[in-house]
Amino acid sequence: MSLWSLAVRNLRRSIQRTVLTMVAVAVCVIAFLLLRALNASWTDQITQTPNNRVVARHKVGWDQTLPVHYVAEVAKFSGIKHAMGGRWLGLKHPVQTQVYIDATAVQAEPFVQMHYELVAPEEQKRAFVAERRGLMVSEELAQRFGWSLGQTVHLKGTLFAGDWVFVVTTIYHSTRHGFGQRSVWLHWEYLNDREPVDKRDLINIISAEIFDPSQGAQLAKAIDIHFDQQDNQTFTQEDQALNASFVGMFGAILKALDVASVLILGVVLLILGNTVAMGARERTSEYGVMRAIGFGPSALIVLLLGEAAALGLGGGILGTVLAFPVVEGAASRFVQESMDFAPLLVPRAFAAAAVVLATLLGALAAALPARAALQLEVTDALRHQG
Amino acid sequence: MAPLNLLFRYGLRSLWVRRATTVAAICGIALTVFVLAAALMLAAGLRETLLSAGQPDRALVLQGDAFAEGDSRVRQNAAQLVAAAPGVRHDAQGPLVSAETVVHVYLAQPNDENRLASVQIRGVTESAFRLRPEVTLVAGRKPAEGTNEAMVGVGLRGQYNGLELGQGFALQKNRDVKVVGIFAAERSAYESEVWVDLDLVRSTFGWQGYLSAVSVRLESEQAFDRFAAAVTLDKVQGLSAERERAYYRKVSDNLSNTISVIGGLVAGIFALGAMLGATITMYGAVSQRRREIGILRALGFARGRVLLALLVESSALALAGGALGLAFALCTQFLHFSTVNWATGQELVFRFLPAPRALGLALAVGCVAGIVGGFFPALKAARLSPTEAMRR
Repeated sequence: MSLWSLAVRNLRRSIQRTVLTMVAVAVCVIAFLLLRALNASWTDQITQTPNNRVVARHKVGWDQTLPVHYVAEVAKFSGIKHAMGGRWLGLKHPVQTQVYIDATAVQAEPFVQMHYELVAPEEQKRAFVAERRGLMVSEELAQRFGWSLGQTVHLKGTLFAGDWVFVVTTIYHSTRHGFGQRSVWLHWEYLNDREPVDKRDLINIISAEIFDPSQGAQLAKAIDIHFDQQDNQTFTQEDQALNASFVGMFGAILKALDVASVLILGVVLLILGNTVAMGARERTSEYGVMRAIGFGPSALIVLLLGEAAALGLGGGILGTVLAFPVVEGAASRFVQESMDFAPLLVPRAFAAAAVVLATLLGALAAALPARAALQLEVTDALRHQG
Repeated sequence: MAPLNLLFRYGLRSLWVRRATTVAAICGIALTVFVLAAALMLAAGLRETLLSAGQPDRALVLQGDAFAEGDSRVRQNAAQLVAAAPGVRHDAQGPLVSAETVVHVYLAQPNDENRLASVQIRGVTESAFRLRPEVTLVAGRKPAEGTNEAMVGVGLRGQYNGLELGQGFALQKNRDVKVVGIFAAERSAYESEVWVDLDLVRSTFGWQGYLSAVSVRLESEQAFDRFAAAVTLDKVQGLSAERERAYYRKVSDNLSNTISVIGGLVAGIFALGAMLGATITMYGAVSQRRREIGILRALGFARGRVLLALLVESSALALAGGALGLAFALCTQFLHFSTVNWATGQELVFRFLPAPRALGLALAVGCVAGIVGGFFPALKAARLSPTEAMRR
């Protein structure tokens, strides 16, 4: 029997303690993966953004507007495939006023051509383009409000006051995390015609699809230079960079999640260290015997290290396996219901890392007890009363 | 009572004998209490910031269905209509009514050009100061009316480019404003704003003839219903009135919910981990001291006493851990926390507020984790039969 297997067998000597420790480590691993999943639900918005788009917004602030003719000018740039203008407006359901609806008025034709991540049957998309009062609705909102295709719906404007009448032409499914999940899209022309004459022909953003993703940054710069002499200057970014700066606005919250996820690893270390130290103390006299019959110091290190790493590994695997139902099931439902969140997903890379980390933390936790065991005189160890 | 006293000392001394284990358990509980306290302090800080902006006798008049000031657009004459409504408080200079326009401007952090914040700019007149006596200058002077001078809330001071006394930034191309004053407002959300002249904002952003909202101070809290009924009567104008408190609760709901839900969820799991940690420690303590416990029982200490002694031990662990965690949590109040409130698109500065309720709740959770964790091991010890325990 090798020393390593003896180390693992030591875990059976106090089944209760071993089980408790592994469960405690598993709980911490679940917490760790939950924190990573919460963090990822923001940062995934960046990584899943298509890399072939640039977005221009007003240089000054998000509530400022650009003249609509900027869209046609951007479309003329070489390297740009499609360009569309959009304007945000708040809408709310006349009865379920607490449900947040993200509404944008868009130039329908280029919008539909560009946004392949909003998946719907082709004829529904064509119907949206053809119907002036058409409304593209996410399947989540359609379900929540009980809307069906062809239905006429009445909504209240928050940014643009009054009653709005739409026809549901399209119900789509978004394949991109955090994009369009609670959104509706309507025709910009419909909005524009309702505005007073002096407030017409305005947009908030221009989104453009480019042929070559590697040209994004250069094109963005060229667009800003083009409008630099105008009264309304643009601030153009690749869509990914735009979303990164958007997520950056919650930077403080993400940092807090990061700090907490490091702290939880500290808790894992404490729990494992505690258990290993207890075992080592109880077995001091055995270590004395082993040393006395000729085992070297490395044997003790193997024993302690093996036991601690096995504890970490066991807890890590248990926690990771349980994290999927807990995080993606219960916790995900909870955050979706209580705060309008996209579903939580355990980041796969972190799930694998958690198992490795727990094992390494186990090994690290063995360091102090191992040092104490090595410093012990054999005679003292033999005399030790558990 | 001597024996009881003795038992307590015995419990505490055994913690000292197993120092390393004790420290590990204390740290585990301390981390839990720290995380929970920090999350609750942050939520309390956000509440402080947004709810102290709302005074019970103040109200806002917005466009009918607008969610926030930034979404609202009312005609200029709404201000006169509001001023004439019943229930409005008057001072020597007339009705306490402030016509305001709110816009947002991107400003970058001095150390990171890519970290843009959307800073809320409030266009105000002299009435805004009469309406909000809590706004006081802490440096510089008040901006002169009809100029391009601005004053900056202390929360934003120095955090973004141009927001320092003597500096300035561009509202629009060729429309620079100069910072001449820094103001405080009892830690309310106004401290996360920049105030400039109303007409400057309106001419710069094409708001001529329009306002975002009209703020008003009422004769009393009870005057609101009368006031609201009168203001909303005119269906053509389509105005809505809201108590300032309700308004700020509404716009902060989503953000404070997020912080408390995430904080609570995470701290809950942390607490479970700490509880298990305490259980492991106390089981270890019991199994190591079987013989001692047997002797205690043989000497005539009753089961209940032994249970009590071990519970005292785990409570001491929990209290020490809780105190340590709170000490760390209290240090966070010196941190600056700033994030966007996505309900209004406004950068909001707040702090970790050491609210007694937040601290008390965190400490209680830590103590419960320690005591519950210690309970089953203590029960096991109390059930030991003296003869078996001493035989080992």
